[in-house]
Amino acid sequence: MSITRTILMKSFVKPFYRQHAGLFVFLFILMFGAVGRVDRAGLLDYHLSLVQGMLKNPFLFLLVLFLWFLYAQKSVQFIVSTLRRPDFSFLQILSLPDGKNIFGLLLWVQFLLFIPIVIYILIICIAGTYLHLYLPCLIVLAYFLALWFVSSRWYLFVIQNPGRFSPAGIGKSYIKSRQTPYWSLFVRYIGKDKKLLFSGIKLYSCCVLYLMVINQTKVDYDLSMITLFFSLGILGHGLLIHQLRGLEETRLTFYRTVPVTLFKRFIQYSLLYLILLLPEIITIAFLTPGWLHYKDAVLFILLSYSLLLFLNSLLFIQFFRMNEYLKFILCLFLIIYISVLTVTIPWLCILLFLISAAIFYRRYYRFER
Amino acid sequence: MLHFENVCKSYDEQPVLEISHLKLERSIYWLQGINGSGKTTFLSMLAGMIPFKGDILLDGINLRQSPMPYRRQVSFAEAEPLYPDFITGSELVRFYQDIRKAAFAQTDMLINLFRMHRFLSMPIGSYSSGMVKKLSLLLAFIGRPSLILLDEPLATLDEGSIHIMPELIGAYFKEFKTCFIFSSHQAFKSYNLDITRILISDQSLQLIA
Repeated sequence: MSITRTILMKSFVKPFYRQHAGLFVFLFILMFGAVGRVDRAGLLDYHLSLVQGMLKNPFLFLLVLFLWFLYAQKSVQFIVSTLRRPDFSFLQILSLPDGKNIFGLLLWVQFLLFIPIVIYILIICIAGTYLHLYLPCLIVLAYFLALWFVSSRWYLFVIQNPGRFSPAGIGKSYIKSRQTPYWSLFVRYIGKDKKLLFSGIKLYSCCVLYLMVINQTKVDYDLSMITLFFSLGILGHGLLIHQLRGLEETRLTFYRTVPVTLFKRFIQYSLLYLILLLPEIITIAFLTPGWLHYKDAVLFILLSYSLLLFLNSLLFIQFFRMNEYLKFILCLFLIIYISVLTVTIPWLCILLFLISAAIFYRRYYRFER
Repeated sequence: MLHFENVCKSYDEQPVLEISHLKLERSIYWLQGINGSGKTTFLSMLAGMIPFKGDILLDGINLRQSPMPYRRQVSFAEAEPLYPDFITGSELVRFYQDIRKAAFAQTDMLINLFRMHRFLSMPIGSYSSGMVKKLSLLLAFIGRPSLILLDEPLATLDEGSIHIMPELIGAYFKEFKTCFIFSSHQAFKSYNLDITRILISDQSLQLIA
């Protein structure tokens, strides 16, 4: 492997998969691990039906293409932001060699980033050929090639035109009297850099909650499974919280030195997570009281809120690496599972609130990355 | 004014700073030492950014026991400041102004002094490193802190701003009796300032007359 390939691999491909490992594990479990055997239907039948549904139903077909577009945008965002980082400014040297060679390398990099999509496209094409659905398969291939080519060409453009696009739009002016609450910095960060991750998490948690709740009958009103699947979505927020704390420890370090009481600091996080939970709260409000009892609605909100605060406080004990943090999240899921079995969710919420506050108060000033 | 008692800072159980007992009077201090001697660590400890063992008291206020009143008295400008790309300079100035309860007249004066008015409405992502540095210095001077800590305040500054710094330090010291501790590898033109040097070496501090 040439030195340029090695550097591109280490600069883009490895960090991309490392940063999104949690998301891939989550998707893998969703696509392969969470499939049970019902009516003698296994994993193969499940995916065959899924592909068939996708290729035959125009709505599903467009939805899948849109999801791939989001994934492509995610990878583009990652590479472009890496190219703009000061520690990767040396990569601008790539603008010196022949453009065709660099474009070839960038195609190779983008292909590696697209491997999860490529694997699924292979499955689709095999299943599509088996089902004689040739035209949708060709559309899928053409769409993928377009995504692949355009994103690689965009990287080449960014490399060859350094500084042409600023990291944020220049020229926005804010009136002098406008105040900036601390929590709003995180909301803006999500809006600017993490909207795909945020949308994915919200799409899962809100859809799971809505679809599972409306599909249960009033006779068999049992929220155990719904609580488990919904809590998976809430725990998925851990990926986002880890990024928020990362931002805080790199670009918001000044906040630690300003005279703000611990109580007010805790309130900032509490407000932030309340705002982040708004989509779930709206979904729950929509389902209540038609499908969901008031008591259970409150419990869902409290569970989500306490989990987010707890996940945030955990990162004040130590800034765990993502893989370590995911282990904590897995343990937390097991605790929720036991709590669902023993019908102690209200107690778990209270406990999580108390532990979150205690960790925060004890660790905030003692924390060091 | 500043009182250190059994202060110790370690990284991976390796001590980098040990100050058993030290008192610093209200003055202007120039912190000197070779790279890696612990200057930034010392300033970060004083600013309450990183934990440590022992006690630091400012005018009798203990950093550990009264974190909020202590922080009200201290401002810190980091050597290589980083802020979110999307936030504008004016938002950050307003943020500090609110927290430090500073008057508009003071921030306007600082903005003019640092010649920042043209850039404040832009996102920090569009700033040069020198501009970010200027912004962090401006923020450190907002309010009436009794101790201002400046880590390499002259690094990446343009010639004009380099001359502003001693003048501003002198003005704050005379008018508000603000104590300064700054580290700098560059020669600091004193402009009749009475500067006391502190040398950090072998994990300890030494006052140089």
